[in-house]
Amino acid sequence: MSYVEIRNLSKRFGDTPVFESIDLDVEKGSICVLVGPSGCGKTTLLRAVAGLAAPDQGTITIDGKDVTRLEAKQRGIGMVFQHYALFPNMSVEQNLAFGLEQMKLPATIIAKKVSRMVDLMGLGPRAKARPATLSGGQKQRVALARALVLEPKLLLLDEPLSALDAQIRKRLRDELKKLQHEMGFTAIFVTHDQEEALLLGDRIGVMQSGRFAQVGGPSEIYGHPATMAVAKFIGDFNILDPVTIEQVFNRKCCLNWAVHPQAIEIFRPIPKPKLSEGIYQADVQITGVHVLGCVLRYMVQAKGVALKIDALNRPNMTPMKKGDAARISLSAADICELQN
Amino acid sequence: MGLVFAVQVLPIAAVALNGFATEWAGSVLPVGYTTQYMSQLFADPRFTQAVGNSLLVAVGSLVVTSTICVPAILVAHCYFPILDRWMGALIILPYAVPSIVLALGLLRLYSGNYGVVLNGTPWVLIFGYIPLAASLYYVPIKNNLRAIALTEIFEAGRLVGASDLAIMRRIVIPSIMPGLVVGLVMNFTLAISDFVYANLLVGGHFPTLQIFIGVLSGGSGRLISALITAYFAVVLIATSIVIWATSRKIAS
Repeated sequence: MSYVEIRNLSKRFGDTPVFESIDLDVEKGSICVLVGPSGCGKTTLLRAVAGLAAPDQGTITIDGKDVTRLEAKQRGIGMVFQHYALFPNMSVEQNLAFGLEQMKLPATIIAKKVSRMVDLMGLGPRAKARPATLSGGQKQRVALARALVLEPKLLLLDEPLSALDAQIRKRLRDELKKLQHEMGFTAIFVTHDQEEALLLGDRIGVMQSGRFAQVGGPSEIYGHPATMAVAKFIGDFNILDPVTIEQVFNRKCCLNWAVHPQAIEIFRPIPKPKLSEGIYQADVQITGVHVLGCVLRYMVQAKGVALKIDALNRPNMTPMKKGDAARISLSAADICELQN
Repeated sequence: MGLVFAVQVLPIAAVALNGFATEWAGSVLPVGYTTQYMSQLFADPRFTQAVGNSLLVAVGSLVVTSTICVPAILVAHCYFPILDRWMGALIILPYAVPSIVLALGLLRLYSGNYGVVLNGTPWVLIFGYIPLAASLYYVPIKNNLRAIALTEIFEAGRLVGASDLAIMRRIVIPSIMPGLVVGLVMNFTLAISDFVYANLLVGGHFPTLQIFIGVLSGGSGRLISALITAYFAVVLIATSIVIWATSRKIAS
């Protein structure tokens, strides 16, 4: 039995289903990431787990206890909101202490717990500050600290990093992962950012139109998307249908292919290419070259089909240029065959 | 800045000087100064009674209106957004209706036709100010409420184990304190400086400062100036106390 079990959970707004027949297991001490496009139902699912939205059917069990009909405050759940939801009239310390005060703990214990959490989150210098004077990153740290100080059974994070700029987001993402390893809390994290999902998730649930299109580990989701929809959302795949496959690689097949840009090798054309079993090659024309930091992205046309190819951007290498003719090579082992 | 000073401060200063002047005609400043008119005023029992009546009505109205209007605004905003839209339209009605119509309506309401008899007592004024007070609380408090993400704050509060009452008391009300102070000060000054409703609803039965000013208006200009100066002083002191008391609450 898993630590968090969601079974057959459904929710409708009027006639519109928000999510349907959701089953999800989250193991203790792990992070489960719900990822999917806007409007796919991931935030409402999270709110149902929190007790902020009542599901129409199904059950939610945490640590063996059915919490489906319990009020939010009785579930022992901590939540971090996208826009922080800090208490504006209270200092950082008071924000952290508020929940502990509701538990009627002695003042000395509250002070000790707050002080420990303030130190852990590196908020010491801003402990007396009001939320209005904090930066976005600091606000989100306070929101996280406010949830964690109560030692919740389950932590829910609703796109907590999406309102932050790219650099702070990356830093907080790493800090969150480190913190989770140190404290061992169990969390469900909602995001629409695939990179965030892959980095943070021990398990990832990809949602599409109110259902899980695939649930699995990050390697499984990234390397072997189960459906076209997952492939389109995760991993920036080249998606090729059977007609295109035949056109480019002269090979007949009946399923779509999903191919990672880095799985395709690109090199300058050679007069007599050596063909071997399980290797597919094609001549291409480079239509664009983009530098993405450590990666060079080549945009190419292969018999009228646009493909994207990533190559390592090695120092001192001379990249091919737009308009150059090139040859691409693809190993059959790197192809994901997709069900529709 | 100079213009603001000229428009706002000079007339008050001139009235105050006139209240202390022995003679003031044909010169920039008075010829001499005296406390005769101020002493005469303070010796008049009608003045002390009027000050007492005005303070009673103003403080009473502050207690009653804040007890009725502020919770209504908060509850409508937090729990009944549909009602809140109606409230927004209703609160401007008392200002769209001519004062005489509103006063006659209030007299009829409190004359016993509906089981409540308040006419001729200060209560008719205190309760009569409720419709006027609602908008003076509504606008500044709503501005403060709109500035906070109330739904998320309630959700965050509930998730850390707080009841709605605790969230309201510890988070929402302190967050709207600046608006509440503005509402309290505006309502206090409305109640203490009102002549129209005081005259129409209670008149000579319960003379307030404004009615006393009306009574003296045909007499000595110096005495009127002394009275207006004393009135400004009472309003200034009382409003300062309201601001001081509520600011202490915000700071704590």
